[in-house]
Amino acid sequence: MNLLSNISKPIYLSLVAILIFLRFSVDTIFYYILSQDSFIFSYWTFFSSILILSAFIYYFFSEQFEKNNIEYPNEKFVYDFTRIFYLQLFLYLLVIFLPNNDKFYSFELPYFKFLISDVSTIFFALVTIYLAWFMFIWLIRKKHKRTKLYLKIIAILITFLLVAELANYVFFNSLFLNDLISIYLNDLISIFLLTIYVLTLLVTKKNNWITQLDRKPKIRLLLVSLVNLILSLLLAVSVIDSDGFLSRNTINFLSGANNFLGAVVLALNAFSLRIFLAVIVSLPTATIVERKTSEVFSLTYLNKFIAETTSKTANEILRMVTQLALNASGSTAVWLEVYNNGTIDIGATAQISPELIKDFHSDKRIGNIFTTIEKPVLVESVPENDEIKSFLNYFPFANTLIAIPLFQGAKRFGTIVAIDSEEYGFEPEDVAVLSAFADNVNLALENQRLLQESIEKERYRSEMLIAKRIQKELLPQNLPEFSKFQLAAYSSPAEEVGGDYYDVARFADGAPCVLVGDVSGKGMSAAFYMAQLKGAVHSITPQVNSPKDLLIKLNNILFGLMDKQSYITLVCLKLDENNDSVTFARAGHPPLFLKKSSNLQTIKPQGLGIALVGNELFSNYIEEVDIKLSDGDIIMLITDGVNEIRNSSGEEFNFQRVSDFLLSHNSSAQKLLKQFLHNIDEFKDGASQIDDLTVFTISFGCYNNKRG
Amino acid sequence: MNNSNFKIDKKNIDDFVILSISGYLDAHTAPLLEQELEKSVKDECYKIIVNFSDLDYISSAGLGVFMAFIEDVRQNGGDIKLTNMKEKVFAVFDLLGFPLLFDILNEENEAIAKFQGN
Repeated sequence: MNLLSNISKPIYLSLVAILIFLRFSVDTIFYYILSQDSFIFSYWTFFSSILILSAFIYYFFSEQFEKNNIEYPNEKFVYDFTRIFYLQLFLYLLVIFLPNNDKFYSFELPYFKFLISDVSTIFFALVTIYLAWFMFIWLIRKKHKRTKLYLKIIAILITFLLVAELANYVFFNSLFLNDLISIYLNDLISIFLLTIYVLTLLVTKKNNWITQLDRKPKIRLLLVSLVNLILSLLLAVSVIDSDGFLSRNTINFLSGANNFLGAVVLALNAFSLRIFLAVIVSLPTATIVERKTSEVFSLTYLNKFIAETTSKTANEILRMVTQLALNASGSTAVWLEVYNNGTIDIGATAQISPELIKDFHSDKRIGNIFTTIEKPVLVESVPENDEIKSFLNYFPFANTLIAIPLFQGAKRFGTIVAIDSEEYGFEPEDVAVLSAFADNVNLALENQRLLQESIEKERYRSEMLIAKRIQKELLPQNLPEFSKFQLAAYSSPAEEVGGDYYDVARFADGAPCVLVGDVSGKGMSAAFYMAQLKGAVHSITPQVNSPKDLLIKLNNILFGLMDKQSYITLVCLKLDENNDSVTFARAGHPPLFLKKSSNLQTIKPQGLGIALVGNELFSNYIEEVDIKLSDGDIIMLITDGVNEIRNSSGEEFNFQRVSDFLLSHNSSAQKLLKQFLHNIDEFKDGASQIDDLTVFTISFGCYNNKRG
Repeated sequence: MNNSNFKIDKKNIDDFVILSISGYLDAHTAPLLEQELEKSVKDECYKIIVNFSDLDYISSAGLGVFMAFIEDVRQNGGDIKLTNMKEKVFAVFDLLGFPLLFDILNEENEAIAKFQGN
């Protein structure tokens, strides 16, 4: 086999062709030389036949062994089985239309008939071997427990038939054959043929695959197996019956292979019978099976598709769903309409022009008919339904329709409309299938929406982080150091960004200017105003020399620039190192806490919040105070986030606790700040911070040397 | 804070609107009060009294709401008068300088009298 498989296919076929040509040539020579059948002719036909048949058998079966693992789909079987029908039909036409040999001996025929019979016999042998091969590989594919055993028995029986027959005709026929042996032999042959028939019936057992076929191939298989059944029977009779056309030709030209060939044709008959019966039994379920397969396929595909929606747009989803709905329901056309604020848009269409649907939607009377349905609707006959008969004006082929509403939450956002050209063309199952689709559409769109949302959230989050970083940089990273004043500050927004502000700037005369402020509200809007405030502070401070003037000018700039309901509270301190004093002004902000030895004061000069009122009122009202300082004095500025801190039992921190803290602590600015923050944390006891919070501490004088 | 912590009761007496607010007025609940005031302005009820007797807390955003409407209301010959504030709530108004901008009174009646006196 290895030796032969090295020979390429064309060369092999050419050799076979030469062999056949040789056969005909020699036959022709014999025809003209010999006047009657002789041993020489018998031997010749015997050996040449063996050679040709072996060549064919080898050709087909070696290929099968090589391609043992290739796919042989059920649809291809139907196709191949149809081809067998054509081959058989052709053979049978030969039987009918070729002149029957009334003479037993071939040499008594005219040359024309002689040659035709010779050719047709070779053709017949060829077809038969193809049949055997075809059945063999199919049965191997669909094998069951005993397939191999049965096939082996059949092979042995067929081989025996071939050898016995050939021997019979070649060696005994021409001799005086004992009548008794002949009778026994014929009986044996009949028994063998019958056994082969039964075995083939048994081996062709696994026919479940037929139920899985679609309706069309199934009907085709029904017809093909029926005609194959009839034709193989006719051919078998013709080859086995010793008076038959094929029989006589075979006896003459394939020296006694007729029972071998007959066995194959009989096997085909059994084979066809089994398949025919299997198709008949499974036929009523064909439509259902076809539909179910298609449904399962589409739903599976849809689910897979939904799992992959991450990369799909909503439109792609609608398009895919529409196409799959068409496949699953077997309708003529499907479209998906989408509702946006009272308008009807076409989400996707399958097998129908969007123009038609647009025309339909523009019909004021009927165009919005689907927008109000709350449940799936099946109209089995559109022409018989007065309500939507005019639907046919737009879709003449829509004799049946299904409409499935799509919901997103409680909102009706669209409809799947499936139409069929056949009245009563839809089954209730179709409604169920399309409804399942509708659920999946919602799922897919919801998935897609959630994904988009999370992407946006992520982007928002990263932008907030950037904002947070930027805002942190708006606050001084390091506070300046002075010989008499020590400063420390802490600020923490309740959200990523906030509206609290502190800063140290310089007045026109070079004196330090300490500011603590709070923009109303919190979050992003407050953060923007805070940035604006900082800009204004730094542009104005170098032009003024007092806190009051600074606040007035700030109000002047910011009033009108800000929302009516937004405002800023601000305190401003001018540190005067020459006179050991501070000047203080307040714009709506919590008071200044001053600790002088064991005495605590809250200082609250009057002043409106910034950007609440116009400048006249603001400047008339605002006051400024000078505070004389001595060694060890402590000043603390806070925003309302501090006094409004609540602990888990809802208690407020209050100004009182700020005062109490200061009375019981004596440290330089930085240490004091640390202690104060610790104090706050202890009070909060795990409760969350609801407002932005800022603390600014200033210590004066003698702490200078013990700072740390 | 969720909205359930803040409530507004509205009643009309003659041409006065009296809004009794209770609970927490902060950035989250401020829009409710804003809507109510907006409605009054739209209905051309410019004599507005806000009763704070049951209000426990007001934040800077809550204060801002009054600023948003006061100009409009006064231009139409009306006013927003605030009454019955708890001490703590008044302190917040006071800090910001609101007593200069608004009539803050002890009782609703005083506010009505003040409106009628005008």
